[in-house]
Amino acid sequence: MNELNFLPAFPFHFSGIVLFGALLLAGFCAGEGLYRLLRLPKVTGYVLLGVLVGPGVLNWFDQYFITQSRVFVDIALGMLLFEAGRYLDLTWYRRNPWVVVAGVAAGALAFVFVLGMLILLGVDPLVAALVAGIAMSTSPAVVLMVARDLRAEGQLVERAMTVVALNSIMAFLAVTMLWSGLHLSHSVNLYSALAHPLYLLAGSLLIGLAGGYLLLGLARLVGPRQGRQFVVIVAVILLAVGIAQVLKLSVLISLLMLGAVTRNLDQINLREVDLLGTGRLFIIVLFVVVGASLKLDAMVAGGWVALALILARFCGKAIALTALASTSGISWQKALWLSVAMLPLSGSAIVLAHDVAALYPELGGQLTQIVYATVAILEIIGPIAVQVALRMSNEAMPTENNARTSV
Amino acid sequence: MSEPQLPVQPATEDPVVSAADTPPGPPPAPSGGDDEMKFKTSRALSMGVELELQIVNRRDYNLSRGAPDLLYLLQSVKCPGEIKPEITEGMIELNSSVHENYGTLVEELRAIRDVLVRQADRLNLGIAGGGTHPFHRWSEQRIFDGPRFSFISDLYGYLAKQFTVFGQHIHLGCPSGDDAVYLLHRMSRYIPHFIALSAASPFYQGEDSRFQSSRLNVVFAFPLSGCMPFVQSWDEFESYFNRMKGFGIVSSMKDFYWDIRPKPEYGTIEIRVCDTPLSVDKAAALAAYAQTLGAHLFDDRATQPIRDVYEVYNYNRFQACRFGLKGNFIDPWTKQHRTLHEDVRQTLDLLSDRSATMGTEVPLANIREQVARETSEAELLRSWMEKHGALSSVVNRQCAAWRGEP
Repeated sequence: MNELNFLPAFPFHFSGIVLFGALLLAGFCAGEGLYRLLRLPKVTGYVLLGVLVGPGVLNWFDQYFITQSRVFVDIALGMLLFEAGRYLDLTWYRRNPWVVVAGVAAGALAFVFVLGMLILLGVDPLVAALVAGIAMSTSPAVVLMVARDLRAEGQLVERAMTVVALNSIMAFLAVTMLWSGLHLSHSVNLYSALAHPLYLLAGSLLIGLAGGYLLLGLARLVGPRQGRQFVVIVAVILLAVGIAQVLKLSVLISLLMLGAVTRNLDQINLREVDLLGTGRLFIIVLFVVVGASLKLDAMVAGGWVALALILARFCGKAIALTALASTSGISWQKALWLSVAMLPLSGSAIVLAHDVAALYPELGGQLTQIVYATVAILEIIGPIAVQVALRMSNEAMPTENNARTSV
Repeated sequence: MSEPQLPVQPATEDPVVSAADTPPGPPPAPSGGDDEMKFKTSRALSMGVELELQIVNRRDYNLSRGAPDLLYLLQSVKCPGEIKPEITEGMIELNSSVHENYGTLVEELRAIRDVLVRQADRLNLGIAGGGTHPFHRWSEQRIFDGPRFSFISDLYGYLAKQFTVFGQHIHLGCPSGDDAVYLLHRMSRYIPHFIALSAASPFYQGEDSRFQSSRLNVVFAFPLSGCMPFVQSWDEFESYFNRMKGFGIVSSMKDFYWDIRPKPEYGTIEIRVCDTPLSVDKAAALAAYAQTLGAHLFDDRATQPIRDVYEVYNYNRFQACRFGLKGNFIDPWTKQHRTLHEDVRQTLDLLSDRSATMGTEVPLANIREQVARETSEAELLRSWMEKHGALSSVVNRQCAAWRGEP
C-alpha cells in the first residue's frame, strides 16, 4: 500500500466505451475525409479505416475487440434492417406485383448464374450451391446508407429496398435449405433437416409480428407527436434482435418483418423517426468492424473466382431487372442502374459461411475462401457502385445542394 | 405556378451566371415572336382548367421527387388532356382540353385523374390536391431540369423553390382582346370569391398559418404579381406590354404573375388565384362558377369596369385569404361591407336562372351548400389534423380524397 493507489494500475485496461469512442471518431474522420477529398461514399471510408486498423494491416483491432464491439454492431444492424423493412409496402405490391416478380427473378437468376459459373470453374457443386445461395443477397446496410448520404430519392431507391429485402430473405432460405441438403448427405435424419429451416422462418416471422404489434401499441400510447417515439422504437428493435439471437432465429428476417409490419398495419400512429441519423453512431462502428473483419489475403487466394462470381451475379440480376423493367414501370436504363446498386454483398454472408464451415469443416475451406474474397472486394467497391448508380440515374441530390443543407 | 411551358429557348447564353449573384439578364424570349400578343379569337366562355398537383411518397407523405419517373410512365399511356412537368420535381400539372360545358369538363378531369392515379400507383407515389404541401421544407426541393425553370430559379433564388405551391387556373374564352380586357376587369371584383371557395392551404412549412389560403402569400412575394393595370382596350394593353418589354422587364406574358391575366395565344383570360382543390369535382365546380359568372358579366355590359375595384382589391383579397368565406368584403360599386359568404350567396342568386340553361346547376348547388356551411377545404384539412395529430396523416387523407375515396 502506498499513497498513490488512487492512480490506475499500468498497463491500462480499456473498456468497450473507450473502444467505441475511438472507433467512432476515427471512422467518422475517415468517412468525412474521403467524402470531401474524393467524393467517395462515407461508408467506404468507414470500411477502409476498419481494414487499416484491423488484423490485416496494423492489427490494432484484433478478434478480441471485434467480439467486444458486438453489441454496437447488433444495434446498428437492427436499426438498418428495421429501416429497410419500412420500405416494404404490401399495398404497392398489390397494385404493382411486377415489382416483386422482378425482385424474385433477380435473386433466382443470380443464383443460377453463379451456380453455373462456379461449377464451370470446377468448384464442388454443393459448395457452389451454398455460395450461389449466399450471393443472391445484397447488403441492405450499404444501399440504405449510401442512398441516405446522397439524399437520393426515386424509383431506384424504392425498388432497391424491395429487391434487397426479397433477395436477402431468399438467400437466407436457400442457404438453410441447402444446409438441410448437407444434413441429408451427412446422414442426419430427415426430420431435423426440414424442421430447422421451418423453425427459422416461422420463428423469425413470429418475432417480427409480435414486435410489430407491440411497437404499434406502444406508439399509440406515447402519441404521434414527432420525436417522442424514438426510445420506444429503438427499445423494441433491441428486444427483437436480442430475442432472435437467443432463440437462434434469423435477425435479418425478424427485423425486416418488424419494419414491414409497422409500415403496413399503420399509417397513423407510428411517426417517421430519423433512425439512421441518430443511429449513425452505431452504424459507423458497424462498418469499421466489417472492414476489420475482411480477410485481405483471401482476396489474393480467391480473387479470380470471386471476380467471376461477381460478374455472374451482376449479369443474373441485371438481366432479370432490365427484362422486367417496362412491365414493372421503369425505364431499362434505370433498371440497369438498379442492378449496379445491387452489387454490395452483405457482411452477413461471412457469418453464413462461418456457420456452415463450423459444422462441416471439410467443405469449409473452399467455401469460406470464395466468400471472404467476394465480400472483401464488394465491401470496398459496393458502396461506390451504389453511389454511381444513384448519380447516373439522377436520383441523388446534386452535390451543391448537399453541401449547403446537410447537417 | 403554371406558366413555364416546355420547350422554350433560354435567351441568355449562359444561364448559370447566377453563381456570382449577378442578375441573369432579361427573361428568355418565347419562340412565338411578336405574334405572341395577337389575341386569338376563341368561343366566348369556352373553358379549360389547369391543376398543379403534389406528388408525395407513401412512406412519410412528404413531397417526393417523383415527377421524372411518373412522366416517364405517362409517355406511354393514352390520356385525355395533357400532363406536364412543373418547376420542382414534387409537382405535376394536369391540363384539361377546351370545353363548352361543365359535364364534359368534369368527365374529362375524372378520366385524367384516373390515368394519373393508376400510373402513380405503379410507382407507389401519392397524388394530392391542396394549395400547399403541409410540411415540406422548401430547401429540399430540386428544380426540374429545363431552360425556363433554371432561368426562374436563377432570377428568383429561394422564391423559386418556395413557389412549390399548387394552384388551379381557370381559362375562360373571349372572342376578342377588348372582350378579354372587359371581362378581366369585371371579374376582378369576384376574385375573393374564388380565393375563399377554393382555399385549401392552411398549413405551410409545417405550421398552421391561420390563413385559409396561405399559398397566395407566396405568390405576392414576386415583383410582377398583383393585378393588370386598368387599361381599357387590347390596344392599350398591348402598348403597356410593349413599354414593359422596352424597359427589359418582361419578354412575354409568362413573366406576369397576376391574379388574372389575359392569355392571347389561347384567346382567354386566366383566373389564377384558386388553390388546387382536394378533388377534381371541386375543381370542375369552380370552373363552372367562373363560366356562369362570366356569362352574366358578358351580358351585363351596362355596368362598365371601374377603377375602384382595384382600390379595395388588396383589402378584399387579404380578407379572403385570411378568413375565407367568413371574411369581410367591400363592394366597390356600393361601398357596402358584408361578409364574403353573403356576397357569394347573392351572386349565386343572381346566376340561378342562367345556371339552369348552362347546365351548371349541380356544381353551383354544391357551391351554395359550401357557402351555407361557411366552410372550406382548409377547415377540412384542419379537422383532419385535429383528428390524427400529424400532418403526414393529413396528406394521407388528401391522397385518398384525390382518388375520389370518401
